[in-house]
Amino acid sequence: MTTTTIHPITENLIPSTINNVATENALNLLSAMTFPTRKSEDWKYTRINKIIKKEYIQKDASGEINTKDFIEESLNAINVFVINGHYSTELSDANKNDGLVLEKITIDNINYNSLASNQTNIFTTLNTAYANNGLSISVQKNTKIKQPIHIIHVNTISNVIANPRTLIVLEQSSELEVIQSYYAPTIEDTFTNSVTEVLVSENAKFTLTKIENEGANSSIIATDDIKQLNDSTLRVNTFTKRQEFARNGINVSVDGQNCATYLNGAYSPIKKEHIDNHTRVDHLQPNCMSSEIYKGVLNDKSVGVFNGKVIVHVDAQKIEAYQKNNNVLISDTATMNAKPELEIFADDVKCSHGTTTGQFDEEAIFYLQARGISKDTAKMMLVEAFMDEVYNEIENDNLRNSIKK
Amino acid sequence: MAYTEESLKTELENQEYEYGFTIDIESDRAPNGLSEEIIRFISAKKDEPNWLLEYRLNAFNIWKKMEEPKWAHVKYKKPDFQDICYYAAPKPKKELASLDEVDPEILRTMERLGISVNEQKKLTGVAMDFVIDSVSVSNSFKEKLGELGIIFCSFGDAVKEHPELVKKYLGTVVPTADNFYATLNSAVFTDGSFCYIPKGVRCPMELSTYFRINEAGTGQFERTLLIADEGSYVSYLEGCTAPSRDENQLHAAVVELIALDDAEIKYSTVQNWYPGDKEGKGGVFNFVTKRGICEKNAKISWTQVETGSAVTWKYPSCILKGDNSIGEFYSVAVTNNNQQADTGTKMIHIGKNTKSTIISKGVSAGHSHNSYRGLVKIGKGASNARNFSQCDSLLMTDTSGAHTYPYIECENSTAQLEHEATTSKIGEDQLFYCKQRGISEEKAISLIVNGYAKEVLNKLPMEFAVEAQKLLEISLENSVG
Repeated sequence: MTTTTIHPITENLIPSTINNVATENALNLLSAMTFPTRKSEDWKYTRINKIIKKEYIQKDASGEINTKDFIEESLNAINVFVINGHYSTELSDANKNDGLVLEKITIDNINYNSLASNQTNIFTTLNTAYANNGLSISVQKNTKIKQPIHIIHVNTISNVIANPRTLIVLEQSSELEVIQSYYAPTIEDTFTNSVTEVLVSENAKFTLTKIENEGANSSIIATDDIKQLNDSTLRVNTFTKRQEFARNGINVSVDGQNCATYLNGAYSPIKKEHIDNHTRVDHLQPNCMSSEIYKGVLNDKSVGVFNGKVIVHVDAQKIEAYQKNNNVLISDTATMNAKPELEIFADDVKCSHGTTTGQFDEEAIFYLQARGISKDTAKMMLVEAFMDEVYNEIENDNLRNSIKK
Repeated sequence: MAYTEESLKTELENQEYEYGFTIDIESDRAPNGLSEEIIRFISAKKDEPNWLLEYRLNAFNIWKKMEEPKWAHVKYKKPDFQDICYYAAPKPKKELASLDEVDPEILRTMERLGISVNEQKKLTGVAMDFVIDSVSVSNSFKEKLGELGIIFCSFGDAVKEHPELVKKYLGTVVPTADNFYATLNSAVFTDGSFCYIPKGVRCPMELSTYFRINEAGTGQFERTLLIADEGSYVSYLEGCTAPSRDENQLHAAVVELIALDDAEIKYSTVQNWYPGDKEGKGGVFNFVTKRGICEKNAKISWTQVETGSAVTWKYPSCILKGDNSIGEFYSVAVTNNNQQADTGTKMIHIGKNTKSTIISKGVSAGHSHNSYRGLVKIGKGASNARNFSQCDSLLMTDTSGAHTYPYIECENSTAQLEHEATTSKIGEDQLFYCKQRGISEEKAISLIVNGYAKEVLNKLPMEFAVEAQKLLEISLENSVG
């Protein structure tokens, strides 16, 4: 006998029509799952009661928005709009690149739901069950797309639940850069539950930069399930700006040799913001390299969480894996919880992780003050210098400048 | 004599546990199983006052509602708590005044372990509280320590002779409901050591206890309570060996340290319980709760060398309650064959200007798994707290695993925390360098590992350092990857 749980969060929601089999499975899974509490190791530092006990509404892409407000001209990108979780072909730019296909996910798309962590992450399951439309991006063999794709997620009404679903497939030796940004201007209590599946095929290169900026009253849970094949390169940069609650889960399964994986992130929460970054890199094959740099500056009563996990599986020899997490607390009431983990089942590896939590060097501040710089400016300069290591990981200059603004 | 690598490997793999023998001492044991009656039986056997019986029963009631923790990175067959004998003691004999009266069998055991009580008494100045299966048999140097006002006796004696101290401090660092195994211990502990160092006294010698698990199928539930009063100093050693046998033996001890203002406690452990045979059969389950509390300006230092046990689950911790207090943790954990260890520490900073240092060195060989799990928590009021953690892992074979799970929780902006961890195997070039100079691979590995663990071994008192180095060598010799 299986017990069926009805989650209040799903009360008013209409199930996904992308692929009925996937939806059915997800709904079944969902009814047997429970939302994690702080007793669960993965959610030890993050309470989600506030998010899941609420009732939300679903809304289509009909909200009125001025697309100009969200477009970053300097990026010269293909702008794709996802409104309340719905991919809107009307608002999005036309694609003029050969070898690049942008379309709605349909039942014919065999890669859909093949990488998503439905079994282990209830929020992914929730997305699979209720994502009412999805965006599929695919790049053909040997194609290098020079123009970045900027996926702009906008929530337009209060109390909306958006379940944006993105599927990105890079075929052999292709190259692509995607920027995902999230906004929910002048509205409250929205919940974005985003799931992105990415397949990076042999010798392909993929860069994903996420900018979360939904404002002081919105929550986001963003899960990326990524698979890398031989000789591929992956970069994921996560920047959390103003966001009441963010939980970023990046799961990379490196199932090929000679891969490089870079995961970077920066967060600077204020007030009562809660920013949780979870990363997991599974090294299944030998001769790979992964590197992580996450940095945070925490102010007011904010809480930061970093949990990085690197698992080197049996026989995945010659792995180099590095993890770094540095934090600065600038208020006495801010909290940082860091948990960098290594699980190693192969012997010929070089793995390390380091984490620090501290404050600004008083002497550095004094040095600047002695040169006529006000204390606040001095602190700003130090924050900038501290964060620069992460910003410098962004390869696209225009993007870096627009994020730093 | 020329060894080939293969022959050496076979020889060492088949090498039986050196200290694996059973001694025959008549013992008085309770029927297997756990119930209120058994607890009353233990309490009555030990002639305990009513408050202690109440304490045990309270713990038992809490324990009944608890579940065994599953979060540790270890796999084992859950012990059947109704199939364990909770009390076994050598038959009570009349009070012993000199060694001549000690059972010659016990003396022989000690000799085989390489500890001659006579020699130890004369030469090293170590007072021994020798525990065989839960009850202290010989307790030397008691008189000399007594002159300084130091109380060092078995837990049972302490309950009889110094009930006010025991009552005041028992369960203050590890509360009854702390965790599954600590609660079980609170309900059924049989004996252990008690130590009290009075104000301003510097204990002139290293205090040591040797534990041995003896009676077949006996769970050992030791309880250690160590109190260092204001301004005092004590160094305490604990070392263990156990005979080999087939069924798993459960060991769930509780150690509580209390360092009052300006006091310092140095607690060193060498743990070499039977790790099970090559397939990991038999072997001791070591689920221990060790914790100390530091008042103002106090210092607690844990040093451990862990080479034995089939499953180890142990986190010696410091609660840095007083301002300016210091906590230290130095550990070497070696696992081989099918051993599993999930060990680390907790440093809980509460007072201002508190400092802690964690150095953990893990070595995994064979099919073993070695995890470091540690918590550093800086509370809101712990201004200017400082922590440095370093945990390194060395992998000897491709079938072993090394895992690190550090938890760092910081709620104060003036705190400074550093954590670093590395995992690697022995450098090919280091090995090559040694071999080129005519040092065999085995010797080279032992050399490199000893160098790697030196930082921790150096922290051990002299008496232990030698034994610990020998242990490392024995544990690692058969581990060429």
